[in-house]
Amino acid sequence: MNYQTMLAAVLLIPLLGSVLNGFFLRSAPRLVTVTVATLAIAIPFVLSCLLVFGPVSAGEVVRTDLFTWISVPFNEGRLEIPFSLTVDRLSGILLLIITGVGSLIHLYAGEYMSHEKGVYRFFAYLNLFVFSMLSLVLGSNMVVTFLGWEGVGVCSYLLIGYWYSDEANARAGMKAFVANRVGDLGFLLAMFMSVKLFGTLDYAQIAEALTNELAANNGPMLTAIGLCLLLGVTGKSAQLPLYIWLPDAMAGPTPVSALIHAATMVTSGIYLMTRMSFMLVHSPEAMTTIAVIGAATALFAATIGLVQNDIKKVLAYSTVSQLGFMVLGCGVGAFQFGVAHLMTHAFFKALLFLGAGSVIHAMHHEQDIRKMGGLIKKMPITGWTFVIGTLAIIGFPGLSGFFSKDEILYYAWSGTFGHPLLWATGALAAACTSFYMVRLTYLVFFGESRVEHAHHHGHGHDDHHHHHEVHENPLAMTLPLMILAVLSVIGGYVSMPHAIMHVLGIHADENLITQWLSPVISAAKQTMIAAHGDAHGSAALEWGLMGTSTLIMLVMSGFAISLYKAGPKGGESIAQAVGGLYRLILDKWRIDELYQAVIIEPLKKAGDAFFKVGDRAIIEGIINEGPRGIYLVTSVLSDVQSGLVRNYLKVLFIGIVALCIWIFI
Amino acid sequence: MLTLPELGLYFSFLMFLVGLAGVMFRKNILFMMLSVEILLNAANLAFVSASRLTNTIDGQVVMFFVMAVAACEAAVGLAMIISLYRTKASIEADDLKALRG
Amino acid sequence: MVSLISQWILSLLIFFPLLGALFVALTKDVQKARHLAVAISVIEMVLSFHLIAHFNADSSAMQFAQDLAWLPHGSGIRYTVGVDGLSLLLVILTTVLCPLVFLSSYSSIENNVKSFLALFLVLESAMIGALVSLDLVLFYVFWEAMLIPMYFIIGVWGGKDRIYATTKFFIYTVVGSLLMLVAFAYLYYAHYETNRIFTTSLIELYKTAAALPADTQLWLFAATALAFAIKVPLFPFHTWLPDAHVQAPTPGSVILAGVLLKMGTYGLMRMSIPMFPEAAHTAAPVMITLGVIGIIYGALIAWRQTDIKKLVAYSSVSHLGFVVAGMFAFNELGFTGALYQMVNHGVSTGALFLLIGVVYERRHTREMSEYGGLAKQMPWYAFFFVVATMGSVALPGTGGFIGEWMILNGVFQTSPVLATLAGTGVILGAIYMLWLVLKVVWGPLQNEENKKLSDCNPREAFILGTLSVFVFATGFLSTPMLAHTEPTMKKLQQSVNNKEAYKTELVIHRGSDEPLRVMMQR
Repeated sequence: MNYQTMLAAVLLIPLLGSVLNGFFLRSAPRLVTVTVATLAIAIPFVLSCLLVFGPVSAGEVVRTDLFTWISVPFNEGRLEIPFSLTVDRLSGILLLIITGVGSLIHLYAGEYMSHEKGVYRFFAYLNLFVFSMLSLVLGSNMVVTFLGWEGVGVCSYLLIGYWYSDEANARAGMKAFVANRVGDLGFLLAMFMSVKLFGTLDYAQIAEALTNELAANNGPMLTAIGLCLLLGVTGKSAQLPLYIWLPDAMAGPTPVSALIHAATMVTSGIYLMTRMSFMLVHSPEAMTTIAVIGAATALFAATIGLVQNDIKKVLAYSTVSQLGFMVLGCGVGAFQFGVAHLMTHAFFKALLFLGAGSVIHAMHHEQDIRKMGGLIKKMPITGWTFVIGTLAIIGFPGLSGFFSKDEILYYAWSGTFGHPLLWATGALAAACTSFYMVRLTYLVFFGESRVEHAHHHGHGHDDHHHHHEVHENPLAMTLPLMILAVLSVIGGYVSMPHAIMHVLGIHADENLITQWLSPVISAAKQTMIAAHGDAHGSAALEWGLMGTSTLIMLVMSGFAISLYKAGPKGGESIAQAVGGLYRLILDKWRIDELYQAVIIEPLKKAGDAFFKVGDRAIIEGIINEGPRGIYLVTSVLSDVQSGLVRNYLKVLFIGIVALCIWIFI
Repeated sequence: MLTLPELGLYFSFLMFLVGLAGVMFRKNILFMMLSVEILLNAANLAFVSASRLTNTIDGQVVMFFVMAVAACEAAVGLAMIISLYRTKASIEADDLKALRG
Repeated sequence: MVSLISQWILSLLIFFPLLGALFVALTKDVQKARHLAVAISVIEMVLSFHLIAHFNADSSAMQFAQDLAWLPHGSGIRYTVGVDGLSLLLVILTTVLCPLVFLSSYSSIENNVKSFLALFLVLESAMIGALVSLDLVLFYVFWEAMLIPMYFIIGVWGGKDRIYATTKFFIYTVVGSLLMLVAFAYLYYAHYETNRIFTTSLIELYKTAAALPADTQLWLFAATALAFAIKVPLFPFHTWLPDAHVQAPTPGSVILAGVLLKMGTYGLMRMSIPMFPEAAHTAAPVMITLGVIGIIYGALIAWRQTDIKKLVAYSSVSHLGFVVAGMFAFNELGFTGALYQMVNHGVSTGALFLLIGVVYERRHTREMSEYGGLAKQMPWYAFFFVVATMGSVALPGTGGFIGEWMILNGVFQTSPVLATLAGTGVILGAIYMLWLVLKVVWGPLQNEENKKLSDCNPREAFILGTLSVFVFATGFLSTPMLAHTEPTMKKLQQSVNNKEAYKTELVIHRGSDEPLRVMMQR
């Protein structure tokens, strides 16, 4: 099998799995369904490893054209959109994350969904999602990427609304789809502008066509493309102002949250920005906007996370916040660290979600952290891996989050488009992160147990489950946790800061991720250096920032533990002190209500008005009034028609007389 | 002094007025029919008088045509009146207003 | 042999259903008549594949042409038919949709079945006739002939307010087509003025019309465009459509959305734009703007409907706004996208109307609130519903995406602002379609009546399955599907942008590319 075939197989096997499960194995036993679905991701993982550690790490780019998708004459030439796939250094990383983490989550989901009926549907959607996600990262042009871009949106819609019998779930799915669509419009417009500017949508060809001269002449256009792409990113990667769908998306089964809403789909915005980095850096305005949006989202979502009581909601806002960090990283020009954080985040956030799922599964669909506590004794593996995940996300020195997040914060200060204010916002968000993650972990796993028994919740569960004690889940669920925990610990070393590399005596110019991604981001780097000089902070600054954030992390964690030592009521005194603000944050800053009132209701009213006034009154009115007017005139005339012969004769007589008079006189 | 044909013409004019008034103001269809006959006869008289005045024969020829038509008209008309009377039980023209707009 | 078939194929396609209608009407047994109608439409479909098999994809000429004497010599009115890249796809769409529609009528039509089937076959004849005729009078005859069967289909087999709806449908369309007739008559005499010869040949009149002064062109353009805009229907001439759709029986709605509306957009692309390029340029901003208004206006209204059929009807207003906007962008992207979107809209909206028909036959209501949670009771139905929805919201991978992408891309190249506004239709489309799915398919299964519903039977599953395959096939196989249309679109684009007459010729088929000389009486 040559590499091209392998690449096609990586994409098509998940699709095959989806079709098999969706159409042919509807009544197959659960084990068959799960095995087919997991293999449909695991085989591509093996192939991806062969690809990435084979030709891609050797610096090659593997590309395969499957067929011509769209082909239209355009401006003397042709606009050819082949359905073609490319794997390079960047998509290689994503490929490994999607198939690797994806396999683990499929394995986990097989157990997690074991009580569901008709689980084939779930796995068909999940495989279809992986297919879409792979076409997103493997597409060699923007249209194939867009296929995946919208495809993941649809799969997310279907999976969020998986338990469709509850209308709230279906609504959450719809909200996700619509919010994503708003972003997709940005992507579409970016495509159209690229067609206009470059006449092609192939990433490689655009990169070739984008000369410095062209960039200099089309500054506003490039800024517009950048901002449109940003709109797409805010939709897919849940940034301000379109982040609102992600917290609601937690209505889906937890493995979905782990795979789609933490590890893969939501990070596609970062992928896209890195892919287009060579273009984005030509526009300082776009880059600054990206950085500001990222920083603002990071802080904004983190504040909401502080007060949530639903285990998955906390993680959801944490995801939004972490995505903000990644976008911030891209916005300040440190694309490689955005990707690095994407990777480490995929590990530790998938771990946290799966851990949360493990807890929820064991608690029979109880998600309120106030009703948990002390679980670490009953679920040691879940508990300790969760703790590792928490330490990773808050940036405990030595764990993965520490490296990737601190590099982003460092560049937020010193990067080409960095600014100390961006750093400060990021650091504040990191402080919040430390607080709410430690709060979450402490309330769920430590302290007194507040578990109530005989709880009734859940979807299609058999009743006898409820009388069992909370206990650790089987290996199919804990194995993925353990693997992810290991990855969460070591994953960050790819983005080791220079300062630490010096201390450790590693003599390399760049850390691993920068080296690995250099073919993808070198163009962007050169442009930034050419335009803004080589922005490098000193080692002292790096140490200083690192120390500061570690200090912040320790202080906030300690504060959280001290506050919640006695249980979930610990925060109440502070909450009461800032009552109004607390309620506002608890209501998620009432953004949903704001959108409802400012956008959705007026649109609804417009729709009603168009129908009642526009269609019924004006258009129908004009069209119906016309004949009515004619009818009025004719009814006057028709009164002359009395039906009496003698009247007609009289008229006739008068007529003849008149005629005679006219003729003869 | 008026000659006989001239007198005939004046008389035919008067007869025409009588017939016209009859058609316009009578409500009974039978009388309207009779008035139509008077109209036709007024025309006949005019034709004959004119033919006499101009010393041609055309007017008299036309008179025979008119008489023939008048006979047909009377036959058809009376038949229709009978059939009307059978269906509507009335020969009042004002009762027949199906053409009213 | 092939040559002989090619010469007669279009006439066969036109008159075969007409003949079939006679046989269907004479059949005694109702069930046999249904089978016969399906058989006739399937044979028709197979015959139409001859066109694809022998179409010369490198030529923009009118192929499979036939030119026969029809009306008395001096009048110049002849029986001239032919297909090019523009009409080919639509002819195929018609012949493919019709068998599915006849299949769906097995359960949706209960009374006067034979008359219904006969009328429908007549309608098929007229639609194909209108698509292939290249003589203005012939076109007009078929154009009006389409109206009569549809008038009866809505008026006899329709819902409660069918008489109001069908009268409205009839009057709207007739008003437009009379204006079109006036324009045709003007052209007829204008041609005589310059050439001292009467003709109604479209190919000849392209030259005459393009040479007219700009203001005359504008009037004639307005007259023809109004006729077509009403048929499309373009905002603000759309108000007949919701009524007609809501009242029409399921097969009527399907063919109305699937093919009849396309006659309007087809007419714009066949007549208004190439005939009057100068005027088309002047009117383009207005037409695109109306299209964009229609997109947003239709979408917002659709969202607020509680009657499922009305929702889909307004979604048609929105979708056809895209088509009109695309063709008035005057580039290949726009033209090709508009043509492709006509096909896709036929498939996905046709599927949606069939889906509505499936539940309407079981529950006899179209109120959204009566449904909900059907996915539990009817999983396959839910599957088909979601597929049709995805086709309708133009998800990548479905044909709708290719069409909308090309259209928006084409419009963007000429007017970024309008394209952006039109793009919001993509968002609104998702809102109203997903709202429909949410209310009908998802949610709890609460209504007791819905708990007794049975899933699609094999016949329904076959119809819907075929359309679902089309939804995705059009999404990935656009290149082979559009290969035939390219020369035509290219020529259309060139003639419009150079503001010169659209030149084409009649040929029989690939084997004999010699132009068929148009017979003319001097």
